[in-house]
Amino acid sequence: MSKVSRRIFLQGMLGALATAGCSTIIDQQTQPGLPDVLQPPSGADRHPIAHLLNRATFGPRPGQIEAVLAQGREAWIDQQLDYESLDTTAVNLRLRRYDTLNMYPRDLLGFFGETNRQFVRDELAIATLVRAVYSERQLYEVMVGFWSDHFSIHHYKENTAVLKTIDDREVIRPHALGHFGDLLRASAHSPAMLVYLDNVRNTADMLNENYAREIMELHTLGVDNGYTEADIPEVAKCFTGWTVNSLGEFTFIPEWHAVGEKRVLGEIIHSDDPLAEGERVLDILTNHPNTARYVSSKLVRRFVADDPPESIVSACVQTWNATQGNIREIVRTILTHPEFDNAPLKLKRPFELVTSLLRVTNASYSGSNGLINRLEQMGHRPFGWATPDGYPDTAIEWTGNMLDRWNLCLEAFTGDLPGVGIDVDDLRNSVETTESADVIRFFGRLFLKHDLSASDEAELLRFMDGANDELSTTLGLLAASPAFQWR
Amino acid sequence: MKPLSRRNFLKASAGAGTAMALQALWKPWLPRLAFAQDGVAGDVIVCIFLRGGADALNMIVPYGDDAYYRARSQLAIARPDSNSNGRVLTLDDFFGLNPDMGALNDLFAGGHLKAIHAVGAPNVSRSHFEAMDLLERGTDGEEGASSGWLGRHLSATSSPQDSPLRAIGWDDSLQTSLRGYTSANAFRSITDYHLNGDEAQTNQLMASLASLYQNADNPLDMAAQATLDTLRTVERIDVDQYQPANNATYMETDYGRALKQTAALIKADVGLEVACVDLGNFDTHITQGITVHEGIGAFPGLVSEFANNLRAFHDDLLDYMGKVTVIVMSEFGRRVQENGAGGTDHGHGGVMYVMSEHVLGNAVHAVWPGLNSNFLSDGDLAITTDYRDVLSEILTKRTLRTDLGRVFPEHIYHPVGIIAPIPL
Repeated sequence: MSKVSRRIFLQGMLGALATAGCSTIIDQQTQPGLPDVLQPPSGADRHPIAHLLNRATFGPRPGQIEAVLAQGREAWIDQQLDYESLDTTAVNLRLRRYDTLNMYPRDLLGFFGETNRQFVRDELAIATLVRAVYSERQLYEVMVGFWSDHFSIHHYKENTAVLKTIDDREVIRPHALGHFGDLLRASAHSPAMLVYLDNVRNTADMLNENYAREIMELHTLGVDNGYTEADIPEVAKCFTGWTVNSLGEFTFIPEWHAVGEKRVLGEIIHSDDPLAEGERVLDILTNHPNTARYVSSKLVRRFVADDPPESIVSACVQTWNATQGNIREIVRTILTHPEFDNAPLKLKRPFELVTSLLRVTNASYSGSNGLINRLEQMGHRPFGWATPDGYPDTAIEWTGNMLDRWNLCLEAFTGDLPGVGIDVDDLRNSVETTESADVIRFFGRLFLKHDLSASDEAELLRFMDGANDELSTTLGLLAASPAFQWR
Repeated sequence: MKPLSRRNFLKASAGAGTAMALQALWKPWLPRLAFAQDGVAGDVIVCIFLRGGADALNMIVPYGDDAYYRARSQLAIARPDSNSNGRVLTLDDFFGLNPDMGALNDLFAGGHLKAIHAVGAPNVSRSHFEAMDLLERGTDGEEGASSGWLGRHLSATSSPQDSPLRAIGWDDSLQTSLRGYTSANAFRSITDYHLNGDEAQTNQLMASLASLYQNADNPLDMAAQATLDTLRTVERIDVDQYQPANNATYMETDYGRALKQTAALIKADVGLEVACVDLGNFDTHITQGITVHEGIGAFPGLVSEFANNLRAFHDDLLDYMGKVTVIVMSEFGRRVQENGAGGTDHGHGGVMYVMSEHVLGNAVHAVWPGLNSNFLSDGDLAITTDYRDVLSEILTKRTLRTDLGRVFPEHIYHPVGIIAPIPL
């Protein structure tokens, strides 16, 4: 199926290229080039732009720090926040081959059987990785990832296998830098969410409180933060009848709706329009001060520190209140906060390890499934988190798979990582001498954006000497070293 | 912090000779916080899943229920007092053991193995996929968590000092029951646990990694050092050369290999706490077969493979069984009435097994619902014991710090009385 559409496309765009794999040509055409000269930052300390790029992107590309310095930090942030101004032709060409990304829910529901469903899951997971590695809209993709965790939907529960594609396209992506209230509302109407959190089974006769609990505990107020156990069935009643039809679309079934007064967070909810009752709950939760604080602190955890500094969280809450939850402005507040540069290191989660490695080496990625399987092995497959709290975002949760991290880094440089190609010689051309020490120092700066510590440099040199000056494995070791695991 | 090591525990509990032999063979790894303050360790939990819906009635045979013989004129296994070569082995005055599972007879008799009959998930579907999913998630129905019960147990009890080999699913991808614990491993063989690349460089790589990760105050570096310890230990487990103790013989099948390697890891003391093992092909709709004596059907071979390897695992780990609990389950049992194709169709109630030195009571626990058509659940054996009560009891009594509220949030635990608690 995807082969046909690729071929038609190429005939139109690039002429008939029947002899070669078409996707290979697109991949080559859209692969970013290396700058003529690479002069990554030196010095013992973290470069402030490197820090910015480590948080606001999926990892700096070679030459990107110099480019941001030339553009100006504020101007770069503005441009990233105004993401629609950034051209996505190249990444979109790469995404053309994943047909299911653009399908209607009713067509996706036609993917019966586990093999076909896995095909749909894989396409979305791969597209997520392709965008993270190649999109110019880096900050936007970081935010898409953030909300995909915040409104986490497990890809392995009933029809979420196919409906998550719709949720990604029509809920998360349109609102990732919009207003929180719009995002929450879209999520509450998302068929994938309604299936995942069992609201499709929530009826007046048999309340299902799953969604009611999680929308307060995880999506808005935070656990035990401004609601009581008594609120949960009341919220559930407001959402009775919010379900999904056979076409995979949101629908409201009035006969399933619990009639009568509900009392939610102290407010009486009773409407002649039964659908309006759930909508009212969304308003109450959107405008609740605990929501601003809870969601802000999660954003600060993502961009700044596992333990979010109160000063930045407060600044976010102020912005939230002044802009009615404008996510774009809240993210701007974080990235321009005077304390942002003092942030402690964050541990790269496996997904970020992969993207930062591919980006810093200007690696090619064929968009094949092997890399997704590796992420799955490391416990970080996109949309593979089983519980509705989303993948954890603190270092302590991600130290369990060191061997997988090391093997991934080593294999990336020996050509054994599926679908990934790193041209070591091309990177090395920027080093003038062939002295091992200079080569190691250069790659240390390229990967870390500062000088290697003296002990790490000595160890890498020692290894390279013992390995007959073989650079690939030494670079794998550099990527596997603790310095590259943090961002 | 100097907690008791597992090795010290083994010295105290197992024969001194064994502990010394171990010391010579393996570099002991110290699973620090896997121990409570007083040095008591939880059991290693080995969870065997018989995929396809194992025919419980022909494994633990209710020979005392006449309705069994009426419903299975072709497939019934003969009463213990019959002259047939393929007669059941007596477990008690009502239940008998499939003779092809004779390897387990001593264990039942000796109080090391217990069957729980008419057990299952009350709301279970008769579809394999849905039923396995339900049992492994441990939820009430399709709704509820999509993580697995063991995954929730492991994350509820995890600590920064967890062993990298704390949880293993012996398969290419992680079993649903282990989902929800980020550090669970899925692989087919211990030999998959190694640094990839040029073997000649492995030692240098490990030395360099040890040197690069040497910041003792940092959780990442601590995890790295634990991983290097584990790698060095696993490196010394030569699967091909591994000699099971007590003449135990495992079959060269995925299932046999998984049990054998689980045993090797338990002895190697790498901090294994949970292992998931699968045995498939129990979906015997056609020509199921009765016992090996007739020479037809797949079922006799399957139950032999199940039983012989489980017995090998027991014997191999004889000195360790005090700290190991094996759980066996299947998604459902099969229909009481045999079908027209010499097989059985999807049923409801099934059988679980618990192997441990600490099982209580008789060989078979059953609140027997009866096989008379009046007592059946849509033609199937009714479920009188919720499988989550069995699992809850094991987690509560044989592991430390579990949180049943997180593992089975929808279930109210009623102890079955199958196993004794760890003495504290």
